[in-house]
Amino acid sequence: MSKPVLSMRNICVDYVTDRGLVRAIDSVSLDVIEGEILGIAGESGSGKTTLAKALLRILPPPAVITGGEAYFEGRDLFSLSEPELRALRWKRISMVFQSAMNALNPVITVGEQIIDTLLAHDAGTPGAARTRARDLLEMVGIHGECIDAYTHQLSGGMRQRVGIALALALEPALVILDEPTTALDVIVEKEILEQIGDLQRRLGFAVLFITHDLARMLQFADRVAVFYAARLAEVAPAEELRRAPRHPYTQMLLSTVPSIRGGKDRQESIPGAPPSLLDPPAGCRFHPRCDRAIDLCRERTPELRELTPGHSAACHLAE
Amino acid sequence: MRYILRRLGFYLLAAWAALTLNFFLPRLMPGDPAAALFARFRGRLGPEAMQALRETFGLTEAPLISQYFTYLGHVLKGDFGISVAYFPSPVLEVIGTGLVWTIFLAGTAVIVSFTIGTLLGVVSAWWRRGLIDTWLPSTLVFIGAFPYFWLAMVVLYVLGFTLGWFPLGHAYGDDMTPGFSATFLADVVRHAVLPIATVVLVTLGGWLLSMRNTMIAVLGSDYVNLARAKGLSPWRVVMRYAARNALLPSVTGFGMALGFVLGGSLLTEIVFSYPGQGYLLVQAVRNQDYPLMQGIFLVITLAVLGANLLVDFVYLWLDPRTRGSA
Amino acid sequence: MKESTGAGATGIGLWWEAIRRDRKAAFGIVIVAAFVLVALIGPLFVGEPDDLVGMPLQPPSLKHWLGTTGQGQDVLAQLIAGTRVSLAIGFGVGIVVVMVGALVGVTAGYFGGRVDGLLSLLFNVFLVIPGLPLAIIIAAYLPTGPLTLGMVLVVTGWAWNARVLRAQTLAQRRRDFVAAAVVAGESSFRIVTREILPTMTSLLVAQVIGSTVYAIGAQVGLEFLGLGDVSAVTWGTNLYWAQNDAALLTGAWWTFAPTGICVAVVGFGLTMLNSGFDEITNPRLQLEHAWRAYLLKRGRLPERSTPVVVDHE
Repeated sequence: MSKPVLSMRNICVDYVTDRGLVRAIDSVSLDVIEGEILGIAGESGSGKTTLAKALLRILPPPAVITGGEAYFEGRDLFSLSEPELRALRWKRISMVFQSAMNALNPVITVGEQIIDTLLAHDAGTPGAARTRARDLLEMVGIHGECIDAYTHQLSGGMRQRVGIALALALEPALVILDEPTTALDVIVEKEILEQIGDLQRRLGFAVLFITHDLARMLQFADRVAVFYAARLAEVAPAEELRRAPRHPYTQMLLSTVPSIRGGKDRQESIPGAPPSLLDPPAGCRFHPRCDRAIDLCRERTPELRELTPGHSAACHLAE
Repeated sequence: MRYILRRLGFYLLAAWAALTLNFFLPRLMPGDPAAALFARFRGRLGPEAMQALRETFGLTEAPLISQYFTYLGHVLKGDFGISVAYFPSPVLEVIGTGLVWTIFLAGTAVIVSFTIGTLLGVVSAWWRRGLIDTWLPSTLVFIGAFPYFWLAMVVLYVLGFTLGWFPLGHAYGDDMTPGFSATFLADVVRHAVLPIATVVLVTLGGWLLSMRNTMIAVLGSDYVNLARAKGLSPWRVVMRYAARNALLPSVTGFGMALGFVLGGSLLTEIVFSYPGQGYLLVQAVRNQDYPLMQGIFLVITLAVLGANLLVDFVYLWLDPRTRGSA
Repeated sequence: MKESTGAGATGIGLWWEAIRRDRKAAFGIVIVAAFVLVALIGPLFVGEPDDLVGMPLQPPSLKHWLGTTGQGQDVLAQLIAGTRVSLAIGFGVGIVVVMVGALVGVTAGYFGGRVDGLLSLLFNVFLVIPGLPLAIIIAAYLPTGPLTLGMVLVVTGWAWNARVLRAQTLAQRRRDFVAAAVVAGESSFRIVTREILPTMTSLLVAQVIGSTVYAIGAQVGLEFLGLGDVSAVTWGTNLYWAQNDAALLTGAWWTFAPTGICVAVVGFGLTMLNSGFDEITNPRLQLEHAWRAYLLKRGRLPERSTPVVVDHE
């Protein structure tokens, strides 16, 4: 296995509220290996997107990073200055936002939005940038003419492809995909995922793929990390996770996946609701929904333990 | 283009509403304003001229509906009747002498104020809780709370009367011959500085606050966040992404505030004896010159509607979504 | 089933929250209360405003704190008497304007369809027709007096409120509890008065405050033009007489300065009250506030990029 491109160590992120801090990411440690697709799965509100934006340091107020390190190409992202961050953003780490409709500027053309990114990082003359922008659009399967189109003139799938073209513009080492296909229908989703896979094999960037759809993730990713209530529940190679999930939460998630393709809300059939981060349960955060919980689970927080090489879970009962 | 056609239709409707209001107001009021009006002309107009005037206002014995169409017909031909205060000049001629000055004064003031106020709003929102954001909005809101004409009086008293830096009124000096000479234009500017400054001062706070508040909302949007993630310079993030979008609601507000600002500008004219519609309006009120009053109302309404149409064109240019084929 | 708001308070309660927690709102309420107090009991402490008490155009002195007018009346007595009338008309018109706006706006928003189309057209036309000239042509035909003035101010001022309240009603109309009431077969009147209007209480208060600012300003402007009852003592007529008596040319600043300052201060107080309320009811601003305080307490200035603050306890 080659070396990690990103090493997260005990990352904590809090939201400041009137009633004190709310921990949205709690001591997360995770590596992204060069050229791999790492999936991050979890229910909405479990902290996936927060983690992604924290890495780029673009989490808006009231978020504060309250601990940990994120080593990327030898530097800690959490100790970079504003100019250093600006130079690194997009050039080395880029991101596809959840909804391209909201993430693209509605009043300037998609071409301009790609070109200004290229120019901000000194990637050639305006003329060259325009040619490159066309190439990028064509690379993701959009006609080059669309360079002068506005967001509202494109279909949902095309917008998401523009977002992907934009993310690849500067050939970064790491691309974060934040649920890039949630707003799309199943067929377009499949096409786009295949395309991302293709591009990833060709260009060799690493992918941090965030989704609430664990089943889809298992087909697509090399490794998968499962989040539950701001913490990591389980990390394992995709194949192994599907075969032998160790955390009861992962097991429940997988058991609710129907064998035939179902709707996107199929995971909602786990009984109970995720805990409020304002007042998380003591011990293991999953214990109120876990049918195997013992007294220990209610008292002590389980640490993420490596059970077999490359497979870790945060459960007292896992062996 | 459908967007502009729809707006145009609306303005035509608004213009028609203003005309209709103008026609029915005197008829709805207690007493007989027509009799009062003609009493003021008695002895000054011959019976024939009197009859012509009656027809202009549709104040004949004919049924109301035919009176209404007679009135509309005259107005469409530009016949607004004869002024009492400026007898025997026709109303349209009286209004015509002052219209340019009013449009110049209000137009310049509103554009200057909107531009400066909007830029200050951007600055204020970007450096939240900075020095500018802490003091400027409140200060300008305070200044904006003064009546236009009162501020005009103070400005005139201090800068014109006491310090003598600026002329005390009128649009240009008595010794000037109007024309496109440099000295005349310089004189016009010198006379316009105080009235324009007054209107700008009163309205600045409103533009600042409206831009600041939309900016704050837009700065929290996904596309601004993505712009920052792209590593763009702060200047580009603020101007091309945040301000460019925050401008849209401000431009809509600009159109809606035009009529209001124009009202203030008219009051300011009065204090500076500026020869525009405001000054005429006072003369009309003092002399109970109803034809002139109604004429000014119509002309000003049409001017505001026209300005709104211009604003719509600007909006069309700023927001590609309104340019859609649908 | 109603959603709970963050602060736990609704309607009028939110206003108390604002006054307690926000400096601007507290400042505003103090100013407004002071003026109301002057309007209520001030006239007891000064003489008749119309009495001729001395030489015309005397500058401020111990005898006449704010000097005398061009007719020889006491400026302070006139100012205080004017406060009573102008505030009464201001608040009165403010309330009526919002009532008319609510009637039209809520009706349009609630019934939708053709009713909405017509009413929206009506208030949009009124919004685009310039208010001052319209006010003048209406006022010129009517006998002068507070009733005329009030009516004119209502006619030219209601449209904005109608527009805002229509939008708000449309939003409320889509909420579950309203839909439930419709399904339960409650009458429209009951749904509007029991379900929709109560959710808008705090907005209505904000609108009354905003409309009062408008009413005071517009009233002073119309009276300054001579469209009020010039024999009454109000802020606007005080300024009308100051202008008529050529206060400027004689340098008698005391005849117009105090009135203008009062108009501005009370307007500013009302506006601060409203903006303080906006501040505490805007969840984004509240969160940002807490965030900023958290950083400052740790000696850190707020930054553009997500700050990294590691507490070493």
